Amino acid sequence: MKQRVWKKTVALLIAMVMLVSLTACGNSGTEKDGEKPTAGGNHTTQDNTEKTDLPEGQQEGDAASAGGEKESVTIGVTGVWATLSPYQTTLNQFGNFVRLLYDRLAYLTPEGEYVPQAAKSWEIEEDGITWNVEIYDTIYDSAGNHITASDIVWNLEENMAQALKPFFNKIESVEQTGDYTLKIVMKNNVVGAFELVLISTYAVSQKAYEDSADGFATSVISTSPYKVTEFVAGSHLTFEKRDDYWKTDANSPYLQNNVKTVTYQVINEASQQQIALETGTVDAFESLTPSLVRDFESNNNFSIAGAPSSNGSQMFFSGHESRPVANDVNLRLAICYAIDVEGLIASCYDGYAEPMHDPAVNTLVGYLSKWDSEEYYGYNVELAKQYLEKSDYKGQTLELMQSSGTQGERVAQMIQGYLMAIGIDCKLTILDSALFSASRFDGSQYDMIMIAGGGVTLPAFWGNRFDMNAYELGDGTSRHDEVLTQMLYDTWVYDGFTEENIDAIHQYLLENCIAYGLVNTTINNVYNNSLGLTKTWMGYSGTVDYVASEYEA
Amino acid sequence: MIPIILGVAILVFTLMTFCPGDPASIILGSSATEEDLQAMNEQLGLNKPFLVRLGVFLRDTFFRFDLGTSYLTRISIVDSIKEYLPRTMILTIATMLISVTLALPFGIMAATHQGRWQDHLSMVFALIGISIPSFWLALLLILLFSVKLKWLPAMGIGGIQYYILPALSGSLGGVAGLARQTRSSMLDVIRADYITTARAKGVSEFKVITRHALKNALIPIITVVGTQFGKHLGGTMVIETIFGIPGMGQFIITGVNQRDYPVVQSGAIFLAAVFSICMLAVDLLYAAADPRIKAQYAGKRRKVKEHA
Repeated sequence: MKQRVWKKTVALLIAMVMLVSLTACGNSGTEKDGEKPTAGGNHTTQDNTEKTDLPEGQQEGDAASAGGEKESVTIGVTGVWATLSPYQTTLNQFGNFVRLLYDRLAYLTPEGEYVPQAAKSWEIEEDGITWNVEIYDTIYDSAGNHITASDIVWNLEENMAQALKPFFNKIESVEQTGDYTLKIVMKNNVVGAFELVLISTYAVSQKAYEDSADGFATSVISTSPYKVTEFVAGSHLTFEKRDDYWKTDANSPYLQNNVKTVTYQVINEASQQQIALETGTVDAFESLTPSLVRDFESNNNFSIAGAPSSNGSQMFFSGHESRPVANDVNLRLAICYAIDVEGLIASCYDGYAEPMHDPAVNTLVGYLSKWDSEEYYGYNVELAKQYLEKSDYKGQTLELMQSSGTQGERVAQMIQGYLMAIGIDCKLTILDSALFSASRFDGSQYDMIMIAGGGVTLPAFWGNRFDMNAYELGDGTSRHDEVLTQMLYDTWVYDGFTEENIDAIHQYLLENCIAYGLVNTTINNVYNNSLGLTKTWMGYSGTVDYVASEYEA
Repeated sequence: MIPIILGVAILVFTLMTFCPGDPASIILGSSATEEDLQAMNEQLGLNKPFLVRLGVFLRDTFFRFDLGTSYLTRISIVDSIKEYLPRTMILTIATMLISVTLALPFGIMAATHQGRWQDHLSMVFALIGISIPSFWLALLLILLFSVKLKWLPAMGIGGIQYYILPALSGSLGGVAGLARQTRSSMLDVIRADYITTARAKGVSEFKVITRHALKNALIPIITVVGTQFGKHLGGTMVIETIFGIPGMGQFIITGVNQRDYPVVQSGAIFLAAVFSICMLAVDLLYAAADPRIKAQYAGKRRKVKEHA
């Protein structure tokens, strides 16, 4: 009798648990009763320029005549923001929220154009390394402090002292030459080095910063069109539009300010991102987890604006003498031809990525668009086997190093499978991000390494990866290629930054196969159609700038 | 307590020093050159000998009470702990309240009805509670209470309503463990002669259980509660991540991933201190719960006075 009661109790409990699970796991879409999500939600892939992304039934607005001002927008984002300091690392360098904190000397658009912001103008002297910058004489921060050239000079020196952004180390000296003019002398005339300084220098009042108890870590005196009204590190950041902003007109559509209150909500957990969008906790999500995007594609309440990321996914071959791949171009070519990039995109990126045509992503300043239509190591198993036969490969185990993370590990596993298919023994070395960062320059530890590399300019990207004098052991993979290094140096200077020289490096990389640009991931920005967006403007990092975007009147 | 904290400080400092991974390369990102990395290591003092750095760290921590600043954010660690700790504290207290409130009745019911359906029901509940991963339960609760019923927020921080689902998710495992411990402790005392005597004297069953049995069964229960409290105060990373609560767990794990040595070291010292305090509180509660333990200390004090 007792046993029967016990069994019934257990059966009842299990049934209850299953019932609760089923109830909770039911469709959680936000469509109203009677409405069913239909296929064909709005998905537009953008090419990093301003593009229209229209939900059904909405008309495109005129860029010149902006629509209405939006009362408030809440944007979901990933990541951990611990500080609002103007001297933080490059981690959030291109986050859209940065322009709401501080005006920079210049703003970088997705097309690679530098738009004057706090700086009125800048010009280079004949020596190629001295830059004269003039700032506006009308800049005031939200506390009423007047910003002059001395503030900018102090700011540049503070950046150099704190050394959290490597490009400030390229400055030789800074000097104030007038109330609103200053002179910046660079250590050398590398293309793009000064421009990086321009876009990374924020207009900050020295007095306001020094009066701040925590160096603007949690409370900011803003020079931007917005002021911070609430900040909780790791949770949310709220801005409110200022009435007393020093600049009356936006000099670029990328710098429009069409929202009164903007909140950035940090949501790192994938299912919570979906729930937040569906329940209206957030109006939009920047760079939604790829596996969730399909659900929103089939939901007419949402639109998706896709744009290429400013970071790609590349495989670099070790240049260290101890590694089989270092001096065997046939083996490297065999590996490249064995990898099915389209297969990687379908399996690991849910289709949200594009094949690359150079180790550099096509958003970098200097990238030649003609490369995108050229042949680039297509998937060809027969050719891969032929190259493998011609190579000196004798069955050694090649090591592929990858940083830990679900997507990256899946890519590495698929590459391992492709290599095994042509007879190459491949071992995966998966390291946590800190250990990976410390090991990546030592080519003796791997044969191939997966990097998510990007940046702003082609010379800077190539320099970081292929300059044999950059690191203790050689270039980014311990290679000592004097020919390539000299070619890089030739393009670094403004006179040598020509299409011919740039293309020559691309061809050299292609022939010698020392790196393979695999895929450039697509940043998927999902937003609720109830926002009434008529025109989206993108930020440099591939995310929609909802503050600059235009709304229904 | 002091030797424990000192030991933890030295151990964690040593482990972090020899743990592979370079903070400078994380701070400066992929665009840093060798020269930049060396300059950053010098600025952080990481190029100094191990013993010198250890000495400076111990001096600053224990004599100047300065836990330093984060390598990445340059924010004072003390300020960060002040910001993150209250959220973790609220979550911990709520979690423990739910655990204790549910677990004690379940455990007592199971013990007093040993072998009957109430006992089986409680223990099946305990089994389910221990077996269900907290992240899965959290997602189910969110779907039910936030998405379907719209009663509670799914994530974020704010009023007490934001802590209900995280506390429920985090407490189920604790409820199960504590209920089993309560049952086991109660069964040990429930057949004791003094319980039989109490019943023979006509004391009501409720009073027998609560005043005589439970009081004597409390010692192991207090130990479990104290341990769980200390553990939760260190931060429950999974719950904090799912519910978007920036607490101690997120703070310390981010520090570990980014090789932010000051954050990890200070976090470990903090956890050691918190756990030691919890254990001290447990010892004091022993004395409050058990007159025999209290009498031991009182007896010792009396003897010392007599000798004097």
